Amino acid sequence: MDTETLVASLSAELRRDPRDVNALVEGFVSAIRDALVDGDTVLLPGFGTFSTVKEEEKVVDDLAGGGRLLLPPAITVTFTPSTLLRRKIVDRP
Amino acid sequence: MNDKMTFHRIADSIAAATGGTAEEAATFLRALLDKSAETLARGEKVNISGIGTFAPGETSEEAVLWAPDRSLADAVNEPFAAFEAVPLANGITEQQLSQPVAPAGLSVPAAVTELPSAEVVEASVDNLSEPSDVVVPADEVASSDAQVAETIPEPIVAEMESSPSDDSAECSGGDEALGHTEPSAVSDDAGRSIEKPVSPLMEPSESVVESVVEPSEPKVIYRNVNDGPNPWIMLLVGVVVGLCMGYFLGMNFGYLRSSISHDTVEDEIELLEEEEANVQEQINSFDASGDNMVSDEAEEIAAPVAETAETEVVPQTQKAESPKVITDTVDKKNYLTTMARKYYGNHCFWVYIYEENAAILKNPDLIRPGTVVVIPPAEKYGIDASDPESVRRATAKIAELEHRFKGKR
Repeated sequence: MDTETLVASLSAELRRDPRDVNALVEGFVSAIRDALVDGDTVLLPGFGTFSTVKEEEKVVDDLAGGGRLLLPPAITVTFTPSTLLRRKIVDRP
Repeated sequence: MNDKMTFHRIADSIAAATGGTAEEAATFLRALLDKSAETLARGEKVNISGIGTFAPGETSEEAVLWAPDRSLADAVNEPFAAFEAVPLANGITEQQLSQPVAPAGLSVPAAVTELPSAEVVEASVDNLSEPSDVVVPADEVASSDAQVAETIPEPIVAEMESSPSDDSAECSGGDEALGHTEPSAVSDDAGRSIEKPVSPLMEPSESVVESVVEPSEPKVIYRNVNDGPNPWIMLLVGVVVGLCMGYFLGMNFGYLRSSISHDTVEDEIELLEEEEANVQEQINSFDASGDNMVSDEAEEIAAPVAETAETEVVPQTQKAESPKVITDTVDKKNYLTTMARKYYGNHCFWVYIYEENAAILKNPDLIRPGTVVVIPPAEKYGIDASDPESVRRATAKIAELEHRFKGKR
């Protein structure tokens, strides 16, 4: 399910104009991005948690080039599904 | 920063972004999450543009496989977006990378090489502080470091600005130019090598580190408490010394005071004894002058005086020239009458003692104890206890005094 399908489904369910729903989706994405950029943790009950993790610089083997690479530090985003979502997925038929 | 965005706060943010109400945003958010969860529970993927792709997993530990959207990952990693992975040259260890970085003003040129042996490169400060864009001929570098076996690899900072492919090309080109050594400078078209600064993350070698002069920074020197004597012990020693000095000074001062007072008392005793002897001598002289008042004791005293008269001529003349005034003190057992009987032989002669001291005695019936009176010589008032006329005159004077001070008590 891509974004357009999701918007259409939500529009039908909420009985709202798809453009409004699309605006809401964009607002949702913007809110999540702004919170993560600020280093905040986003808690979505029944779905999961978005958080950021800072990884220090490290030296890894460059399998393609045959040498070693010095990877700079980076901030990555992680998602941890909630217990309810995990149970739904694992217990699916 | 490090805050927690809850469901309602996200809904509020959505409402603020879309201009709707918080309730509408909350309803939409709940529907979005439920729809996404149902889709994942059916085993389908959910792709939300700007967030990422959620895919159902097989195990409980990996129930959801999530791949963040490129735009989201870049936005979050924006503080470190300028850095890229760089290849490390041989000889660089992770320990060297973890060493503290050199100051920015003391960037070490990449041309500085480490010697294979234990020789220390005596790099001058001027050479170390050269700007990074200084151009040095490659020939000069090669000739000055003839013993160089291996050069420092290219700086990381320079590498990060170029692509990995370019880096490999430069490295290979450097190998061709300097043989088995890895190049530290990039050759330009004019055949000159351009030195590049070494990244602060890379410390070329210990020899270079030794040659780098650290900038003068204010140093805070903390005094070690264990150094020097213990201040409490010094305080205790000071107190003990002070007590000892006070004790000796007190002893010496007390000794001086006691010796001074002792001397003073002795002097006073001697003076009193001398006065007493003079008084006794005058009494003897008074007794000797009267015919009926000669006593055995007076004779005994007068005898030795007569015997020693010849030997004490000079002292007697001196006493005659300066006769001493006889004084006595009135107290509860020594009245004027007592004195008159003592010095003149009859108590009625007290009136002459009173007349002699009339200026200080005032009323003869109100004499305070402790009053010192002068005992006049008997010749002054014609006192003679054996003479009835003298006694009569004294009695008449007493009657006159009583009449004068009658009713003034």
